[in-house]
Amino acid sequence: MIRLLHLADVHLGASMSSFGDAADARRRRLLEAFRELPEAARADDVHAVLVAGDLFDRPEPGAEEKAAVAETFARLIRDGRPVFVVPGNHDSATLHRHPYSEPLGGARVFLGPVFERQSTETAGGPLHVYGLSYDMAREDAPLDSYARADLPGFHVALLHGSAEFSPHWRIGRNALRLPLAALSALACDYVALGDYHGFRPPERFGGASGAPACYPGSFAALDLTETGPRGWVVVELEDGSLPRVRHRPSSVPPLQDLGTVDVGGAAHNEAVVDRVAERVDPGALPVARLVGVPDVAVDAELVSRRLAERFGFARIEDASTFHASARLDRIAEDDTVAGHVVRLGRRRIAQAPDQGAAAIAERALRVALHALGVT
Amino acid sequence: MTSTVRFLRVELGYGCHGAGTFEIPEKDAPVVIAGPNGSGKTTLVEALVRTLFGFDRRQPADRDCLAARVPWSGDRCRAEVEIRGGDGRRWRVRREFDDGHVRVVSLDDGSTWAGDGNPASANQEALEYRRRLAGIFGLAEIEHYESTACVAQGRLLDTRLREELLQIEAGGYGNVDEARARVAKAHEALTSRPIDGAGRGKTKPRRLESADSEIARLRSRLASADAVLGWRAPLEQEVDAARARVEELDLAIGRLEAALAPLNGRRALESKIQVLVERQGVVQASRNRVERASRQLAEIEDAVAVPLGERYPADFLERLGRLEWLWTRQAALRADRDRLNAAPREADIPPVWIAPAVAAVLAAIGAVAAVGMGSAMPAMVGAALAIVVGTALLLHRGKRARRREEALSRKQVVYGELDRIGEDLSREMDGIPRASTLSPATLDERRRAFEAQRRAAEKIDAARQALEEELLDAARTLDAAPPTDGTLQDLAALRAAQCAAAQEEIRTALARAHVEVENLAAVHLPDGVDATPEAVEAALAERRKERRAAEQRARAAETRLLQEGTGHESPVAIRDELVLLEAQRAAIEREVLVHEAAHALIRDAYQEFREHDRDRLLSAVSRSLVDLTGGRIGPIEAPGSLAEATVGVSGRQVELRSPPLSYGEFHAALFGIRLGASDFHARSGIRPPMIVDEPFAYLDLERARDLWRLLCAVARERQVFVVTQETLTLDALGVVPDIVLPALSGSALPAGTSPSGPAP
Repeated sequence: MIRLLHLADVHLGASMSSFGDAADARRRRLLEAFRELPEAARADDVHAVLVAGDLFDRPEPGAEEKAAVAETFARLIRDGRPVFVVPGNHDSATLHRHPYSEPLGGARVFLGPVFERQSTETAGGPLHVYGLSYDMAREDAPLDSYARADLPGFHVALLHGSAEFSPHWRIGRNALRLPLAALSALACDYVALGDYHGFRPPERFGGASGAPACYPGSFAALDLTETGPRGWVVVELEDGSLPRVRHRPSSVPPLQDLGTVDVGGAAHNEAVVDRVAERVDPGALPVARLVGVPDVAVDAELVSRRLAERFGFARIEDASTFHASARLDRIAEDDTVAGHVVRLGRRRIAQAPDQGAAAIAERALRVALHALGVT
Repeated sequence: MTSTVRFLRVELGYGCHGAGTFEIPEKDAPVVIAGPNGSGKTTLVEALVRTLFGFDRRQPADRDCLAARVPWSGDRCRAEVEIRGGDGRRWRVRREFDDGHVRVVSLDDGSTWAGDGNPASANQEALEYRRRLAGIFGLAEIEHYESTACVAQGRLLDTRLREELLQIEAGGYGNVDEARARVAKAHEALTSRPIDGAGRGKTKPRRLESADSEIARLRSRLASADAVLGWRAPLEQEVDAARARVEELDLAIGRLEAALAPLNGRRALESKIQVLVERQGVVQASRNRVERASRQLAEIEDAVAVPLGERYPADFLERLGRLEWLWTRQAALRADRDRLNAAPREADIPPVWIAPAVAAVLAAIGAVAAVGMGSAMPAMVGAALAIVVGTALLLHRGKRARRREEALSRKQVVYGELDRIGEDLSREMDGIPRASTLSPATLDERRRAFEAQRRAAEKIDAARQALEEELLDAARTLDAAPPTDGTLQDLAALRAAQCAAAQEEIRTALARAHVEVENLAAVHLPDGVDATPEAVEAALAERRKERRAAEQRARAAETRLLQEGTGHESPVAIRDELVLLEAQRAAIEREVLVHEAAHALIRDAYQEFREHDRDRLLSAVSRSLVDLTGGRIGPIEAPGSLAEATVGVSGRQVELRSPPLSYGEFHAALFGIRLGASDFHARSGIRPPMIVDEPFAYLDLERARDLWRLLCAVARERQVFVVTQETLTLDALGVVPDIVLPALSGSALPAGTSPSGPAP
C-alpha cells in the first residue's frame, strides 16, 4: 500500500485582490501554509508528493515564492518523500520564462509535451508517475501518448487539465481538455489532477470503471467564489482496491459560505453583523447573502467591515429588501419628497423587468434616501 | 399625521449664560422671552438652535460666532436641551461645542447615542446624528430651520418665496439638490459619463472607465498571448517538421551509408565475381590450352614418333656439316697422312755434313780452279758456289729436315687431328642412328631423314614449345612455381590438375561471392534510389544537402520561437484575471446604474412632489398672508417661478417687494411667507418650534396685535418662541413674558416677571 500527498493549484504569489485590505496578509498566510507541507506529509506518513500544476500564480514568481518552494521540496525529499511536479496554466513551461527552468529543491518536473515516466522506489513499493506539460503548439492530444510500462508497482498519471465540468473546459485548446472517458481509459491506478479549484473525489467523476481521478481543489481560497474545503488530499493505493482519498485542509483560513442570512426586522447594522457572526465557524471567513426585510438600509460595506474586524475578512452581498420595511411604510405615508421617493422607488422596483433591474432599483431607493438624509 | 416638537428645558454653558438653566413651559401660547438689549435673549434661543444643529467651522461667520460664545466664565462651551421630539418621545441633547460631540439620550428608555454632531462632517456618525435629529426635530440643517420656522433677528427681510422651500420639504431631511449632488458626486467617483445622460462627461477616467481600460488592456494582452500561441504553433510545427525531416534524412542517410558499404562490397563482389569468372575463364582457357597442347604434343609425338634409336640428334645437320667437314678433313688428313707418309724419311734427309761438304768441295773446286786458273775468281766463284751450294744444301737439308720435321710434326698433327677427328666423328656420330652407315654417301638420305625427323622434331618441338608456353602461361595464371622435374606431359597434367583445382577454388569463391551478393541484395534503399553505389552516393549528397537546409530551417525557426514565439503570459491566467475583472466591472457598472437610478428617482420624485406641493405652498403662504393682514394682502400667485411670485394687494397682483408694498405690508408679507412655509412643513408630520426674534420691530401696535394674534394661533399648533425687547408692546398686548432676562449684570427673572416689574 502506498500513500501519496496530492495537491494542486497553490497559486503562490496570487494577488488575492478579492480580499481587499486583507490581500497582503492572506498572501503571506498562503506561503506559510505551503511551508507546513513537510510536517503534514510526516503526519500522514506519505511516501511521495504529487503537485498537479499551478504551483505558482505567475510564470515569473517572486524570489520569496521560489525560495519557499525550493526549501519545502528539499525538506520533503530529505525526509525520503520524492516530489513530482507538472506545470499548469498559470506557470506554464511553454512561456518564455517559467519557474521550472531552475531546480526546485530536487523535485522531479515533467516538461515534455507527451507523457514521460519517472519511477522511484518507496517504502510503499515502486511508484511510476506519468506526467506531461501541456503544449498545444507541439501536441494537442497528449493523452494518446500514455502507455503503461510493464513494471510492478503503482502507476499514477499526473495532469493539469480541465474536465467537462471545469470552467476552463470552455476556453478551448489553450487549456488541456480531459474528457472523462479519456481519463477513465488511462491504464493507471490513480489520476492526480489539477486546474479545477473544487475538491472532486473519484466517486464524483462518474463512471464505474476505469482509472479513478481526483481534483484536490485549490490549496486555499483565491477569490470569493472559492468557498468550501481547501487544501490537499492523501491518497492510499492498494492492489485490488479503489483508492481511498481523504481531504486535508490547509491552515489558510477558509471562506465559509453562509448562504442566505435573514436580516428581517434588524433595526440597525450592528444587528445585521451579529446575525451573520453567530453563524460563522471558528477560523472561517464569512461569505453571506443577506435577505429578508430589515428595518434599516443595510450598509453592506459597514457590515463587511465590522465582520472583518472580528474574523479577518468578510464578504457580504446585500439582497435584503429594505424597500418593503415598516420604516419605509411610515415614510411612504408622508407627503414629502422622501415619501414620494419611497413610493416612486417601490413602484419602480415592482415594475422592474427582471431581478437584476429590481436589485438596482432597490439599491437606488436606498441611495436616494441616504442622500436625502432619511436613512 | 403631525406632531409638535417642543423645547422643554435648556441648560447652558454658552456665551453670557455661563451656567444657566431655563425651564420652558409647555403651553398652547407663545413662549415669550423678554429682556433688554444685550441681556442674552438671542444668545438663549441661539443656544437652543445651535445645541441641535451645531456650528459649521468651515464658515467664517459660524467660527466667529462660536468663538464669541465661549462662556464668559471660561468653562467649556456646552449646552443641553430637553425636547419633546416629533416622535413624541422626550430627548436630551447635549453638545460640546469645542469638538462638536453630541450625546442624545432618550429620557423615556434611557437609550443613548453619542457621536460627531458637526454639521460639516460627512462621516457615518455625523450622518447618523443628522438622521436622528431629523427624526426628532423634523429638520437636520440649520439653514432649513432658519429659512422657515426660525426667524432670526433682522432676518425677516431675507425671507423669500423660493424653490428651496419646496426642497426643504423633503420630509425635513435635506435639500433635494444637495441630495442629488451627493448622488452625482458618488456617481462621478464611479464614472466620467454624465449621470443624467445629458451634457459632456468628465475627461478624467473614473473607476468604470479605469476598469474598462484595464479590461481592454487585459483583452489586448489576451489577444497577444493567444496570438503567440496562434503563430507559435506553426513555428513549433515548423521546428518539429524540420527536425522530423532532419531525423528522416538522418535515417535515410544512415540507410544509404549503411547500404553504400554493401553496395560497394557488392560491386566489389561483382567485380570479384567478374574477376573470378574471368579468371575461371582464363584458367579454363589455360587448362584447355595446356590440355590441347599436351594433346597435340602427344598426338604429334605419336604421329612422328621415331624410335629412339632412329632419332637423329637435333644438331644432326650441324653434325652433318661437321661430319662432312670432318670427313673431308679426315680425308684431307688422311691424304696428308698419306702424303706425309710419303714424305722424306730420315734417311732421305741429307746428312748435315753434305752441305758443308759440298760447299767445301765447291770451294775446293773453286780453289782448285782458282788455283788452277790461277785467278781468284774461280775461287770466289767456287767459294760463292760453295757458299751458295752449301747454303743451298744446307737450306735444302734444312728444308728437307724441316720438311721432315714438318712432316713429322705434321704427321703428328695429322695423326693427332685424325685422332681428334676420329673422336669428333665418334662424338658427332654419337646419337646418330645407324651411325655406322652414315657416310657422305648417305648424307642426303640421312639429311632427308633428319629433315623429316627434324620436321617431326620441329613439330614436336613446336608442340612442346606450345605446351611449354601454355604451361608457362598456366604457371603464370596459377601463379605456381615452375616444377623442376617431370616431363612436359607430367607437367601438363600437373598444370591441368592445378587448373582444375584452381577452377574448383574459383567455383567455390564464386559461390561464396554469389551468396554474399544475395545477402547484399537485402539492403533497403529509399524509393527511387537505384541499388548502385553511384546512385547511392548521389542520393547521399542530395540528402545531406537537404539535411543541411532542414537543419538551418529548424535552427532559424527555433531562434524565432525563442525570440518571438514564446509568450510571456499564459492566456488561461489572463482569462482568469479577466473573469475577475469583468465581475468587478459589472459591480461598478451596477453601482453606476444604481446612482443614475437614484439620481433620477430623486429628480422624478421631487418633480412629483413639486407638482403637488408647489400649489400647497402657495396656498399655505397665501393663507398666512390673508390671516396676517386680514385679507388686505394675498393671495400669492406664481405662474412662473416662485421667485417671481406676486402678491395680491387691493385687488391687484404686485411684486413681492417694497415698493409697491408698503414697508409694513412688506414685512407682513415676509412673515406670512415664513409662517406659510412653516405650515407647509407641517406636512412632514413634524412641526419644529417657531422662533421669532423681534417680531414686533417696525410694526405698529395694531399690526403687532394682529401679529400676536397670529402667533397665538400658530402656537396652538406648534411651540412658538417670541424673543423681544419690546416690553412696551408686550405690556400693550397684555403679554407676560415667560422668561425675562435682565441686563447682563443681573440674573434671569422668573417667568411672569419683567424687568420693569410684575406684569399688569
